[in-house]
Formats: sequence, C-alpha cells, structure tokens
Amino acid sequence: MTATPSEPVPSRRLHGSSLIFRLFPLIQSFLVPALLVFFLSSDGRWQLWLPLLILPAFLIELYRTRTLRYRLEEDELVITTGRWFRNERHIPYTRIQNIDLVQGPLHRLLSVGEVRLETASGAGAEAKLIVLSRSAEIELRQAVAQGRYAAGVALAEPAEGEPASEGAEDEAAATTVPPKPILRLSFGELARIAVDPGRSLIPLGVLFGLGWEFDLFERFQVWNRVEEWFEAGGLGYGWLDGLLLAVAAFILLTLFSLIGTTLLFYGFELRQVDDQFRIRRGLLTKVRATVPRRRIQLVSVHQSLIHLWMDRVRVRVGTAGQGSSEEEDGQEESWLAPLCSSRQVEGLLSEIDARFVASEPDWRPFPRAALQRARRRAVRWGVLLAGILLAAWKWTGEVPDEALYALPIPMVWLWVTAGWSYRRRAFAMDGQRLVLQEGWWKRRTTYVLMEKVQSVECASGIFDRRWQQAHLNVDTAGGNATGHRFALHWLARDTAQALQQEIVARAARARFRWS
Amino acid sequence: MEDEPIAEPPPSPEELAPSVEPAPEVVEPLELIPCGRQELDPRWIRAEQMASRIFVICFGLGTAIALITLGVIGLLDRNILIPAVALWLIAIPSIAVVGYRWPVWEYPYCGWRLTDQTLDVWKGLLRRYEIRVPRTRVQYTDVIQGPVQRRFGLGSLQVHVAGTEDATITVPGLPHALALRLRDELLEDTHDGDAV
Repeated sequence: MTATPSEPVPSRRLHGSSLIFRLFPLIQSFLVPALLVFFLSSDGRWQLWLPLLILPAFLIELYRTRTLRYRLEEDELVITTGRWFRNERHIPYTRIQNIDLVQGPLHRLLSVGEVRLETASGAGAEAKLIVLSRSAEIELRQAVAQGRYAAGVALAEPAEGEPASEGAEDEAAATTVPPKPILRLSFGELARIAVDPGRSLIPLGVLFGLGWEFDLFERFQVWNRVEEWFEAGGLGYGWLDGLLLAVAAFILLTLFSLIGTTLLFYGFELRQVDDQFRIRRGLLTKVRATVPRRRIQLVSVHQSLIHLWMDRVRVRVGTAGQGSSEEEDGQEESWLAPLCSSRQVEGLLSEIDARFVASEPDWRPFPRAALQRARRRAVRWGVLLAGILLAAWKWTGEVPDEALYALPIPMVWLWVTAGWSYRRRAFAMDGQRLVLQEGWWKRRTTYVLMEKVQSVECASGIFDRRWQQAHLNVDTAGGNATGHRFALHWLARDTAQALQQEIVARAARARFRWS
Repeated sequence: MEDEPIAEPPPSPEELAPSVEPAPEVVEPLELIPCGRQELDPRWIRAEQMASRIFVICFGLGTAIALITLGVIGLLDRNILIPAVALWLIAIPSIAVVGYRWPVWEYPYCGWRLTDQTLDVWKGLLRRYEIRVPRTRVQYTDVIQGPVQRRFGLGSLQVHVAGTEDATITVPGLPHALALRLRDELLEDTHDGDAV
C-alpha cells in the first residue's frame, strides 16, 4: 500500500472486513423483523425461511465488494466495479467536495471506516467506499488534497489545500486541530433538544406502530389493565390519575428521546476551517462531516414553542444535491446547529454568508385576504368537526352529553390559531436575499440568497383565482432538506407576479456558484 | 406582462384541426430573442388528442379484456361484474371525451417566452403555472420527440436546472426545428463559465 505517483498506479482493494459492513444494513433490515416475527407470532414458523431471501443480496454484495478496485491517479480517483459488467467511474480530485468518514463501534474496533465522497452533482454521495482502513483513508485524503493543491491555483479556491493536515489527523492527534469550535453541545443542551415534543413524540408513533403490527396491545391486554387499574381506583385522585399517567408517559418518552439524541449528537462540535464547516458528532457511530460554506443553498432557523421559552433555536442548512434525498444519513447532516442560543444565530448566519444578516429584514406582511381565507377554512373545518361530534352523539349513543360542550372548541381553536399564524407570517426581499418566517408553534425562518435561486414558479388553483391570489415558489438546489422552503401562499396575484419578475431579474443578475 | 386571458373562448378543434395531414412547416420567427409570449404550435392540440386517444384505446381495451376474461372464467361473480361493466361503460367514454377536449381547453393557458434574461413557461388548466428560469441557471437541455410528436413534426424542449421541484422544465408543442434552435440558443448562454 505505498503510493508513488510516477509509476503505474497500483489498484487498491477495500478492507478485508468490507463484506461485514456491506451486509450490516441488510442484516438489520431482515434480521430484526425476522426475530420479532419469530418471538411474537404464535401460528406457524414459516417466517423462519424469510431470512433466506437475504441470500441473493448476499451474493450480489459479495460480488460487488470482491470486484471493487480503486486507483489514486495523479489527478483523479478511478473506481472500477464488476467483472462481467465493468463499470469505471472517474472522479477528478478537483470535483470532490467532501470526504466524510463514518465510524460505528464495530468500525472502530477494526480500525476501519466508511468513506463517502461527495461531488457537487447528484443526490448524496457520489461514491461510497465501504470500508477502508484508516491508513488507506488517510492516503486517499492526501491524494485528493495534493491533487487539488496541484490544480488549486487555477481553481481559485484557496481553502482546499488544507485537508492534507486533516488527513494526518488521527484519533491521537485530535488536540492539534487549531480552530476552536464555534459550537459545542453540553449534556444540558442535549437534554434541551430531547424535551422538544416534536422529537420526543416520534418514538410514540413507532411504539404504536409496533404494537398494532404484532397485536401487542391485545397480547398483553394493555387497555384492559389500564381500565382495571382505573376501576380499582387508580392512585385515588379521581380524574387526576389520567393526567398523572399522561405525565409519566411523557417523561418516559422524553427519556427515550434523550437516549436517541445522545446517540446522535453526543460530543457535537462545529468548527469552521477556512471555507468549510466541520461537524463531529455521535456516541456509538461517530460521524465527521464537512459542509463547504458556499455549497449551502438555503438556511432555516427552527424554533419550537418550548425552545422559544428556553431561548434556543436550531439551524438547518440545505446543500446542493442533498435536496431531494430523504435518507436518514443526509437528514441529520443538515443540522448545522442542533441547538444554539438565539443570540448565536446571527453570528452563525454571518459565518455562512455575511449577506444573510447584512441588515434587519424589511418585513412585509401577507394581505388581509390571506387571513380571511384562513379563517373561512377554520370555520369550515370547525363546522365539519362539530358535525361529526354531533352525529356521533345523536346516533351512537356512546358519547356523553357533557361532550357537547366541546362543540365550539375546534372552531374557536382553529380561528384563533389562524390569526396567530397569520401574524407570524412575513417575508422580506432586498438586494441579495429572501427571508420568510412563518408558523406560530413551529417557528421557521428561511434565508435564501438570490444567487442560489434556480427558478421561480407562480401558480394559482381554482380557489386562488376566486380570491385573486397566487402561490409563489422559489426553487433552489437545496430543496426540502431543511424542512422549510421559500414558498409564499395566498399572496395577492399582482404582488406574486411582481415579486416573481423581481426575483427572477435579480437572480439572473447574480451568478450562481455551486461551490 | 401578459396575464392569462381570463374569458377568452378556447378555439374549437374544428378551427384548428382541418389542416390536412402533410402539416405545413411553421414559419419560424427569425429574431428569436427577445420574443414576447409565444403560443404553442396549434398542432400540439391534435398531437395531445391523438396521445389521449391512444391511451384511451389501450386502457379501454385492456380493462375490457380483463373484465371479459374474469367474467368468462367466473372469478368475478355477477353482482360485482355488472357494476364493473357499468362503470367501464361510463368511465371510458368520459375519459375519451375529456381527454379529447382537455388540450383544447388548456391551449390558451400554455405558452413560452424567451427573453434575454429568462425562459418563461405557462401551463396548466385547473392549476395554472407560470415558471420562470434565469437563463444563466440552465445546466443542460434536451429536445425530446415521441412517436406521436414526430408525426406532427413537433418536439419538446426540456431545460434542466439545479433546482429540486422544478429541476426539469418542459416547453411542449414546439415545431421540432424551433426546439432545436431554442436549445442552441440556450446552450450558448451556459458557455459563459457558469458550469459547475
């Protein structure tokens, strides 16, 4: 495994343990359900044969890992796969944007890692090398860095020579990293992430799903037991028991969510090295990711009500190519700051691009007609829900009369919240940027620079036309990666068309740069 | 800018259809850019109608054959089969009629425009879209010609940008030669060093 660039470049193979890691997701996706079925199904054991389905996949993976070769040429990485159907992929070093290393516990035990190479094009990683030994990974990084450096002058990307030192960096040398982290998450912050209901309620859905799937509720007679417990007098506080039960369930779920959060974000560190953000995180599976600053297409700042109260926000970025991929890999990578105090946001945004925070946005509200339309919709839904409740009361006879007090509640609630979300909705456009904020309980603010705008769509459905309204969608290469996008609903049509004209004209003037 | 013509009566297919088979070559505008909003080639209507006819025939025959075989084998019993046949008798003709009229209704709301900064496309009948792309964002372009379109001498221009939802923008119903010229025109732009 020695590289001398002048001689014909030797082909390299993956690490010997590769097959294990290639099969790992497969085994996970087959074995876990198989085990569940085995232990939980009462009738028949035919499901035991299901794991045999893995066999073709196993052979394919064997073929792929055994036949994969890569060469570190002077200016490009060449990956060949297959023996009968050969595929040869050339990736010029100058096009490689990221080299990410993912290491789980097993990886670290064997001192190997999964290497992902990203270029500007396409969704997700351009090439995954599963798995390389650490020395091979360092060698790869150095080759890429040298290749980039050799071409670097012409590229006018001064920052990119740096990863050479990153290559030399190893577990032991972690202390030599010069830049201080911009952001670190203490355990307290992890707990603050975990208490967000949006996060802690996810396991609830999973639990219910599993429960239904395997009839766990029936098997363990969950509902009967709860009923019996209540009938036996519970804790003896009457209806407070229900509340206590709910609180206990919530605490339990939050604990679950805390475990999940810790696994994901333990030891989170965000550093800025020249033109890149470097992220490290993870307890068992350690992830190091790189986000080139200029590849960021849009930035969203999220804030739930509970974080509003704690004065915290979350910052998410959408990078080129990641937009449409909803893989869980890319998902967590998009959190540039899983949590930070709201005072830090401005600094963080200006680190990404100073133009985001060049001035206070000149907020423009949505037309009153948008509020009217939202309120009409609230009334419609309120009437519908009340009607359903009324029908249930009249015809099933199971609904107690007291429930009728609840008739107006949905409508009032929807009406009031329509007002709240209207008041929160505002957008701003100035020379270089677009900003949109909306949501009253899931507050989101999204920033887009004109140079990242790809196209602008103005659409009006039948109802929009009746209200003389239109939607305005600003499309970027970052897409939905941040869970929020610059899309303005229920604008007055004239405004929408004028805005479209203006944004396109400004975008056409601003040159787009991928990276 | 041109707003959508709200109450313009859509041209009937009889107005547009009568020109007989060897379709006359459309005289192309020599000065392409900047041009105002252009309508689609009227032959687009007939091409769409033919496509919808082919679809209806395939779909109708397929479902009919399926129904008949199921009825003959006796897999479907009578009180499912009869409503199914009734549904077929209602659905297929209505799909045929709507599919035949739809392009006629949609035509007035379709169009395209190439200015020196942007490519704009209008489309949609129920939900009407106006999509505008700065020409500097064009990554690459395709000219597509299916068998039906070829018969009418038409082609579609597909413009690919780096976006997510509107990553591919299609200008349908162009005379094929014009589509090729538009493509060349757009590619001219992308050479200004705006590639990745």
